[in-house]
Amino acid sequence: MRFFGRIKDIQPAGIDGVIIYFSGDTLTDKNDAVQALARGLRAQRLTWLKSLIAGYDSLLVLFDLQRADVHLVYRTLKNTQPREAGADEHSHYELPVWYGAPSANDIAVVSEKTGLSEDEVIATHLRQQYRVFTVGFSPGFAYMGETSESLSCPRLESPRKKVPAGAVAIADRQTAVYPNESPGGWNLLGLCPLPLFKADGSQPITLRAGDTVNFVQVDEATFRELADKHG
Amino acid sequence: MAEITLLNSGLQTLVVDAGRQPQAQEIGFCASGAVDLLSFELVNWLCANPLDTPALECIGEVVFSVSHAMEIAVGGPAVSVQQNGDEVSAWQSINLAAGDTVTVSPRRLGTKSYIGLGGVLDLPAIKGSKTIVTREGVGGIHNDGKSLQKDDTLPVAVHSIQAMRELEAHEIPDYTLETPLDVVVGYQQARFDNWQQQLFFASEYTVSNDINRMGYRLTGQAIEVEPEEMYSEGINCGAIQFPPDGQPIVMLADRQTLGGYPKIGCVADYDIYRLAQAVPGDVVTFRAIDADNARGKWLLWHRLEELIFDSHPNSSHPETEQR
Repeated sequence: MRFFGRIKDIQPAGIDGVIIYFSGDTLTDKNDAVQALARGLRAQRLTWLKSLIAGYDSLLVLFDLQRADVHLVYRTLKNTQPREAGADEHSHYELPVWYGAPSANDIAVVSEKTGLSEDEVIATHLRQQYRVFTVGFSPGFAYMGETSESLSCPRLESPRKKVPAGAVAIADRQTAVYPNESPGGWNLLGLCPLPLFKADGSQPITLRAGDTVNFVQVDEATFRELADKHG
Repeated sequence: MAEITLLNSGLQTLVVDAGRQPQAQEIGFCASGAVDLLSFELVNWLCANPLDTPALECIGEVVFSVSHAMEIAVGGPAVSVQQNGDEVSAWQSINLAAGDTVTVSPRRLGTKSYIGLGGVLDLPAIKGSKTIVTREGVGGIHNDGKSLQKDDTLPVAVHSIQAMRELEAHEIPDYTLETPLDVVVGYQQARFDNWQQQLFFASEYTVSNDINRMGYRLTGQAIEVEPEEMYSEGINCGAIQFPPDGQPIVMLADRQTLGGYPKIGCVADYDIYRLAQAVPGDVVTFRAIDADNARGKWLLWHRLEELIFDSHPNSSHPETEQR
């Protein structure tokens, strides 16, 4: 892969930041390039590198102003080989979901919007492995995709004031788990019993850009058991 | 362990420090930390602390008492300080005796006063920071993100009283807004046409009532930007984003890590403290600067700050903790 060719644009992002935009045929392609460059940069253990914040199709590089300037960053980017994911670089998670949990159930709405039966909605969501494109909005909120085209589903017309913690949701061709109770406009499919955010910072699961996720269906009894164990 | 008891917590009192480890933003934690890092570092220096030691960030009049003798320092725009009812100076170390009561009152409502404490607050640290982040429900006495309330007590491991330190008049931060805020243009700047960019840099913007630690919403000349779908991307501190109404929002310490509004650039690091100390009704202007010049100014600005920190004959240089 001629990597620098995947870079569409590089712009300053503040005094200590540079943001890189990527081209690609699909969102997954673009995000592949984001992740590959992030891995290539991390592998060099650059002393001036403060943080790499992945977006869907962009990478924000924050650097230490005492040790680097934009020219050094550009030069480094030019000489950085993208890296395919090493076996131990990203985690894979299987997230249990109680589909149709009463406090998080828009399956009928999704069925109506997509033309799939309610069972097909669940089966389609379960069938695929998803990749974490980016994490943000709030701690632990992982934007995953892409869902099957057939499950593509617009956001709710008016966002809910309260989405429960653990709600598993879809919007457009993305899926996510709400780490804590918050407002939100995504369509809810069920509840995940594993905490993705804890105020003490000790969340058992920390989703990072590049990680992969499969959803696994559980019944209410298993959900309650898991929720008790991890509460 | 010594205790600080809040007798009046003003409009908002938070524990703040230099913010989380920057990598925490990769998993969605906001940067957090003091919004006016300059004043925050100076009060720490006055207390002979490492510069990233947790301090109090207060809006409105705040009153507290201490259970043990300890050193404090107060700074901020036009702030007056009373020790047991007697006026004492801001921007100097103040030695308190056990039982002393301190009143901190800013002249203008809405500015942030910083209270440096000669010791370390014993509070939970999340991702390397003890800053209270109300938006995330993180930090503070119960680690629930609640701002400090009247009658709250904060445990603090005090250090021994150090030699007196004070700032010279010219070392006190200049909070005035007459000089434009420097903006490193970037991000989606190419989507703003030339005329709109000129309009932005030539216009005066008023600080609205809709301001907090996440960001400052300004009102004034609306700026048009070519509509184009964009994906959420990383937001650096000081980023100036334009929602569809064309009124700028400048993102600050508690900003969300990702956002999808077009941005014209970022307010330079060294000018953010001035904006963070602006209050509703204040007027700000912006001027474009390229990244090289901005870094040059930043390095000079830091050198001047180091000169203050190195100036004290009886002090060792306070090392910032490596994070």
